[in-house]
Amino acid sequence: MLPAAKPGERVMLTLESPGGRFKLTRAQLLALPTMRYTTEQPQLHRTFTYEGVPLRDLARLGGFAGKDLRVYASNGFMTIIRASDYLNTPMMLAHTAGGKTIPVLEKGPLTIVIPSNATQLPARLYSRYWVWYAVKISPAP
Amino acid sequence: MSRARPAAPEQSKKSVARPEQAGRKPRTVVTAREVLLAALPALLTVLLLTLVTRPAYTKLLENDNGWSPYAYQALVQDILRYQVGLLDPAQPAEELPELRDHARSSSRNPGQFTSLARVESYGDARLATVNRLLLQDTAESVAAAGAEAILLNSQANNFGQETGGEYFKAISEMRYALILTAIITGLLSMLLTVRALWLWRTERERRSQREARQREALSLASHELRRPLQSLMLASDLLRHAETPEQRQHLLTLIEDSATQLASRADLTRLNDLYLDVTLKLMRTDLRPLVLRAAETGGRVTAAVPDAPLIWPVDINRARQVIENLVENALKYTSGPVNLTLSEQDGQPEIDVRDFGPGIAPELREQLFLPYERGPSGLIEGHGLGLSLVRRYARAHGGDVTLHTPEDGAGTLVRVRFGTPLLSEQSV
Repeated sequence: MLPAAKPGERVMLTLESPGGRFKLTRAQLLALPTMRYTTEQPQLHRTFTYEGVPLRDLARLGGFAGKDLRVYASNGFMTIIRASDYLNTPMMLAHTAGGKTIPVLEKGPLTIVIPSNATQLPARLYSRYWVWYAVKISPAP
Repeated sequence: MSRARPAAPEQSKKSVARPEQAGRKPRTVVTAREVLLAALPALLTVLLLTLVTRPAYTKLLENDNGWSPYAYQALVQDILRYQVGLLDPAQPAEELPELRDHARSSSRNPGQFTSLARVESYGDARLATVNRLLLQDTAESVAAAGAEAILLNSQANNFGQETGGEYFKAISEMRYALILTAIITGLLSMLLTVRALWLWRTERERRSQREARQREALSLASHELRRPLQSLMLASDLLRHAETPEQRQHLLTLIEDSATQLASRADLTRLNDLYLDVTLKLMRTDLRPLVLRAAETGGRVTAAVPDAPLIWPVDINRARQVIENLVENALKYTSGPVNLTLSEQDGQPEIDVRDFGPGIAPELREQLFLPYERGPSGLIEGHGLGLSLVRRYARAHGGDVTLHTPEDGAGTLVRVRFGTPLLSEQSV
């Protein structure tokens, strides 16, 4: 059971589907099941221990489990994450890095994080999955 | 006159070298060679495709796995959004730091700009300048940062177009190389197919030759078994009516001799050695008894031999077959006397078989040494194998058999000369 959003609390993420919109604040995101692992942020070339919500849980929460995802960023960027990828690898929407909120200068506050796996997820093919400033997720038709 | 096939000249040579055994490669080597040849088109295709796709792949790697200008465009977009936010009175002030940091998070992070050094080499704009201007955080510096970022983006576009040209060139070259590869592997496959067909045809012909040789050996064996078998049957029949012990003893000796000859000529495991690639069992022998024996039955056959022994290394059984065949032919195809003469010419023994028949035209003589060929009296029953076998045996003995016109009149003179045997199982 998610905690109710407080009045004036900033909406960090919107799960949007044909059935409606589901808005989540940071407190609500923190209340969801969390995964944590350490990986290198390929654009910053720095290693962080990220914590966040698995994408498969967000897809389930949004009512579009098992579907490809469109992830939108606040700067206009959008990418499609294939269901076969986020269902088979621990991809997450990270809200915390090193135990702290992710600052905008380090591609926060919400950023998609994928594990370091050069064989399964080579950087040249999966760098587009690293969506920073993520604000909305919807199912791809 | 029934005359039969000669051992072809190369036949004797074959008897010496046995080329079908010499130089034969082990089966594993042949199998490995054939497997390699079968795999050759696939291996060559893999090799050529690896080689022809390498330039394009290398080009891709050189350009950071397929270069995208998005990071440069996004930087312009972030700066312009921040600039608009600064100028827009409706923009909530508390959101401005986030817009600024969007731009700064990129400008201060060269790692997210692929091929930055090469992009910057295309003009004067630098990412470091953009970052420095953004850090100043004034309306003028942000505008200047936007202009610098736009210029940097233009440089990126130039770089991108050239990269695209390089890709196009590499892919065009790869296309031609792929076509060339297809032609080469296609030609190779065609050659291998032709080779396989050629091998199949060669093997079929070889098998056919083998079968023909087997048939020939069986025909010759059948031909050579006939005489001792007839002799055996005749002697057996006469034995029933023999009146004296001397007659019985003589007939028993004949039966024994015929049986020995049958055994000598009917060894099915040695048909090749007996009739094709003739292998002799040599023994230094006085040739006179062999010649005299042919005249023993009397009748039209007479024999003349030297007073002194004429000893020569021969295979007794094969030499006997030579004489028997020649005498039989003379008796079968002529009605007059048949004279055998053993002599020594130039240190080598010669056996002449002379008949007084119609003779053989010179142009027909060589033809008579071919198997299944018979002379002008060809209507008389026979297979035309005897003379061919005589020549084969004579040549195996290092000699030959030739046909002549007698100096003193009609008839045919067949002359067998013995030389140094070519191949033998034993020499005594």
